[in-house]
Amino acid sequence: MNKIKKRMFRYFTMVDFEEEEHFLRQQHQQGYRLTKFIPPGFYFFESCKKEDMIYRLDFSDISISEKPAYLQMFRDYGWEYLFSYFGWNYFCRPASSTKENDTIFSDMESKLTLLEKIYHRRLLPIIITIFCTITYQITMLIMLFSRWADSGMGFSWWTFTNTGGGIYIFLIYMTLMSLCTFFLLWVLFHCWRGFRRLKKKYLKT
Amino acid sequence: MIEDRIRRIYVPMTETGFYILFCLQKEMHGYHIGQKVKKMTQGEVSISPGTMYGTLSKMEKDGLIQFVKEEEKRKFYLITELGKEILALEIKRIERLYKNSREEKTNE
Repeated sequence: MNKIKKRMFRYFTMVDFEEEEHFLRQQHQQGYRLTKFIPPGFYFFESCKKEDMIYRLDFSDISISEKPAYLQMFRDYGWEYLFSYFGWNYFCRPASSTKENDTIFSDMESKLTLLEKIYHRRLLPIIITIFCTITYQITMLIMLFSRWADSGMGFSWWTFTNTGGGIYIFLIYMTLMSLCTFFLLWVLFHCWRGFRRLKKKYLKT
Repeated sequence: MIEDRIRRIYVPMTETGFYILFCLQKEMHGYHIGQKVKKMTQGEVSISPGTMYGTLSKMEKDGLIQFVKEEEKRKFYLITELGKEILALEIKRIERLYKNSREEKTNE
């Protein structure tokens, strides 16, 4: 029988893993099981029997030596391991009548620990990157401004960059950097809000 | 003696932590602990794999349990002397809690 394959693009940030789990579950309910994932958001599916399959993601930067025992633990509990990407491990398991079987975390502390891990390993680097790029861009702008101020009335964009057409490359470069910075700022803001929402939610369990 | 830091983290203990430490008075691996706890509590306390793995790793790092052996990719752990001390403190606390809760009832 020919298996239908499909590809979808969805962008889930580090705080949207619950939405990602829900998305994968919905796809399986419609008869498509996840076969491959390529960052930043390409999901590859293959047709299968329609089933209520629970997908769960665990963020665990486990070392290679620890991984076999980690995966065996999940296997013992009935979870099928799909693959890993950037520290995120994908598991799935048919939905069961007892809700406890559908989760990989059963208490508040381990859920909060998960958030902490994601925050330290993924959000902090972004904050540092934003800080560096903003500092760099401000430095460039100050240099540009001081050169302009120094040269007074006789300032010429041409001479500023010392190469013909260089100013256009410079402007394109600054624009691209600004776009990257704005994108990172959006991710930072979105994740900060997401962490707060998830923390509040987990503290209630 | 017990480090202040350890005491602050593990006393009082979470229900999950208590049952895991209690079961590890005998050599066991993660899934087996989960099954035993389910049986002990008539299915009321269920420990999922992510929680189990995380708690075992943390307890091992803090010295409450020790790695014994690995069989067929399953890690077996056992409680340490420090773990036994913490467990004893926690049981004493729970007994006191229980005793006081019963006394209140009879005094009504």
